[in-house]
Amino acid sequence: MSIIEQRQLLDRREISAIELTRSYLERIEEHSGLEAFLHVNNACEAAAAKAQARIDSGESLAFTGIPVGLKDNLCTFDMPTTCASKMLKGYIPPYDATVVAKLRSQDAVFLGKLNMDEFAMGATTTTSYYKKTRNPFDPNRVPGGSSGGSAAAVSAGLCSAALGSDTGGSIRQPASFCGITGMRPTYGMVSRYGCVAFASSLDQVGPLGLSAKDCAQLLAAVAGADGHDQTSQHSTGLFAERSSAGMADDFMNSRYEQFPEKAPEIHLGVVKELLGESVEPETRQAVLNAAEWYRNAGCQVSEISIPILEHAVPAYYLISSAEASANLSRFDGVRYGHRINKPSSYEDLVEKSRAEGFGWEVKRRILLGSYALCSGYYDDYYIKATRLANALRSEYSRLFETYDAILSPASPMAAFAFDAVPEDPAQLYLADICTVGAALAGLPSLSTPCGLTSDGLPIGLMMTGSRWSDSKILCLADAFERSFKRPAPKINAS
Amino acid sequence: MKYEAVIGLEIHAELETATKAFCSCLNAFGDERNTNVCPVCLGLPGALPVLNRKAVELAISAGMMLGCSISRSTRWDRKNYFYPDLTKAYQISQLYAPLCLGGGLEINSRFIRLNRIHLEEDAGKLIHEKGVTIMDYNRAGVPLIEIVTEPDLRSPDDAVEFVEKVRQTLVYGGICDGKMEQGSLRVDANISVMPEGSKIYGTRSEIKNINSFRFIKKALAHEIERQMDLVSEGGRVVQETRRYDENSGETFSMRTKEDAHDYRYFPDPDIPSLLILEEEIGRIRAGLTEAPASRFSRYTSALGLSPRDASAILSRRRTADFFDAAVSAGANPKNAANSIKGEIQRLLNESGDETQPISMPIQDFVKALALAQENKITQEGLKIALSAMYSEKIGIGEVAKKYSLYVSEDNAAIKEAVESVIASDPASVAKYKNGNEKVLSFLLGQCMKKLRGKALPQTIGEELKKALER
Repeated sequence: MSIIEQRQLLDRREISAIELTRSYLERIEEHSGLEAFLHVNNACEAAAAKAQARIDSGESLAFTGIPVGLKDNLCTFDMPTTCASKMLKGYIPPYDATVVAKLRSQDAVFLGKLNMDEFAMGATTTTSYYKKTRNPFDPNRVPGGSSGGSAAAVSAGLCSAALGSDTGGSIRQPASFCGITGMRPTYGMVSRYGCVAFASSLDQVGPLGLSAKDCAQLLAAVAGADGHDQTSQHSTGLFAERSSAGMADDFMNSRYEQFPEKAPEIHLGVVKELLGESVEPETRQAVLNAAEWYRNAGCQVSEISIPILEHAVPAYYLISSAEASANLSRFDGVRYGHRINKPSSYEDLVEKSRAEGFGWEVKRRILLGSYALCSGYYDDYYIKATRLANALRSEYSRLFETYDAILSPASPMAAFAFDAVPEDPAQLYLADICTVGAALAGLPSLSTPCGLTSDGLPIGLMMTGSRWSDSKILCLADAFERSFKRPAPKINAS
Repeated sequence: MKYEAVIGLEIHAELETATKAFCSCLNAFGDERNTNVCPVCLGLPGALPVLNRKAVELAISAGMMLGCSISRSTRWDRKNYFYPDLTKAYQISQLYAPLCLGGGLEINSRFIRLNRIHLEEDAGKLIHEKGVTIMDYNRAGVPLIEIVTEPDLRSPDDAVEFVEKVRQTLVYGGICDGKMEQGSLRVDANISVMPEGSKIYGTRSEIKNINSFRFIKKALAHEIERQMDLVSEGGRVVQETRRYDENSGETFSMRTKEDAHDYRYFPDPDIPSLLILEEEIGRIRAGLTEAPASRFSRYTSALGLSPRDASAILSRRRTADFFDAAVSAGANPKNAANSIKGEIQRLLNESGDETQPISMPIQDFVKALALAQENKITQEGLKIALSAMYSEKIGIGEVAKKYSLYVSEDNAAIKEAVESVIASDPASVAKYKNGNEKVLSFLLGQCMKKLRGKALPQTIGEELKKALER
């Protein structure tokens, strides 16, 4: 059921907010084997009752009474926020992230906090300190990551929609693995305040939902400039002038209706480099089929080449790890978080608390990032990587003079088995090739299901637009979704 | 061989903003521990900095008053290191694109160049108490400018003089309260020695966190002596950070170059680059007060004050402002300066009020000076007038009447006073007659006292001489 349908049922009193919430709690219980949630909100029925009162007074907003899930790196003053790390076990922030506060002010119902890779570092959700989230399409496979809990929960119907965060692909890749729609908005469209930082210049909070329409709804509810985040809507693009409500209208009314007529004006590029040898044939074929669908709908579709993408993965890992090394330094055991017993000195306290509190992937990135920033290496690594990102940005700008959106797979392969997670982290990093380009360039980018493998695993079509063209790519995805039946998982996680 | 010292300073000055550099917590000294804190300055997970524009304006003002060029594009960097007073384990500072470049100040006829001024955040404070260390984060995130000089200073006295001038400039600009005892102004010094006249600097050591003028002088003198002794005995200075111990008066090594921090600076992605527009620069410049250095040269050249008088007037901004206002209202600069550094300063000291502007209408002050210059009131009468105008808040006309200050043309009264003084002190008269001229000024004083400032000293003197010659 879509968010709009749930809204109508609630507003027509055909279902109460409490009933709706309970039905989700039951599903969460029933599918607890998926291990999507790190924390189920024990106060969500009270929140639903409050939402119901608002509905009864006739003052409901888009998310009043809608049960949503939150990735566990979004600060919530009434629930633990652990980033799936031992470092933050039991940590309850004293404040709400801006996106959380915005939903709370609409009386959305938070069902709980969703599993993720530790501090959002990973593509499998297996670096979580707490649990292994399973893919609803196959319990032996990973849900993707880092927003794997969010993707699995939405896919399995454990929440209406969820918020995740995307630094290098952490919304789009798990959305593709779990057969749902997930979007990374334009960098700056959504406030990062209260989203525990991994890589500040790349992190962006975004929606995961059962459709582009649901994602648009959730994005509209959380988007907008924020006085607590100077990078939010810093750039004066199209959307800077518009309210987030205006964006929803834009999407729901005009563009959505206009797609069939507008199709001939739309020019799509299919990225050659992301359909090469390293991409699984079934994935390649599904994406080409989707491109064909757009061509048949009247769009112009061309093959394009972005040779510089070849360097995007190393640039991404240098920049994101460098920023992470500074962002994660505050976890020193002094003020909050994991602290060892009886330290012998301040240095001992910091060293051992961090050694015990962080997992191996986090440590690897901190080491990599610290190294890249060392004097003597800074120019060779960090500066070179930022130059590459700038070049990539220019390359995309040039392409968007001609193309409305760029198509590619969201991942070179469908969800893989837990025992097939590569030992060599560099191998795993290479799979980010599809998603890191848009992240480095700050572009809006989404993944929507476009097919199934012979094993019955979903394949994601990724669509990337120019900065602030978020509603355009949502409309394009929506048009496709209306003629493509979203694959439903046959959940069997027990 | 003779050696000379080479000194460069880093002056850290906390800005007088209402709130902190990157959050809206109060910037206040002396409040209860950890009361002016929030997720941002505590560095809680997820919190983000938002730049305080007022802090940028004050830093730009400092740059303008110290002759720097103001960058039109500036940005902030993260300086990474672990210390319990640093909540994020990085300080938001400026390495690559500081707000102000160049500039400088003249001291003792030498121009001391500035390298840069940048805007950063202060750290919290560690309080060691009863065997435990308590963290107080009220100071964490307080805006701070770091004023970095070139190695142009050559002696501890120069260094003290320079810091004093910078401090005075910042206080004038309302940029920093300059209270070293509260840590609002702190100094790091880089010191090296080289053979006199050499062009090649020696290896330097750095002394951190000196927090009084007395300590600047003592710490530098000690460190220079240590290095000179070392070098003249054939030793080598090692590059290191040293700490000045206030009790022993000596400096001690904290860490050498080998274990120096690599701060791994990189641009802070949370704070967008700041473009500073021309109109912004113009607006700040228009609101700026004239720097004390500039006033000093104006006072001593155009207005003809002695350097000593000029310095006395400049010691407080309110006396300098009062002086400037009086001169623009037509007062004779020298007379105005004399009254301000004398009677006005005395009145201010007595009132014990450190901050309020001087409450006396400029027009009345100027009129009183003019009356004294025209000999309509005496210098004694002027003092009475100023005191009454200041404490009774009445105008010069009323004061003159109330205390009948106008010089009397009444020769009979003068004669009477002279006669009475002579009659009452035959001993002094005898001394005078025996050739002791000095006693004359004493007798004159006695007469003036009797006349309560109503007659001019010259007139009295003439009468007195006449009477004594008889």
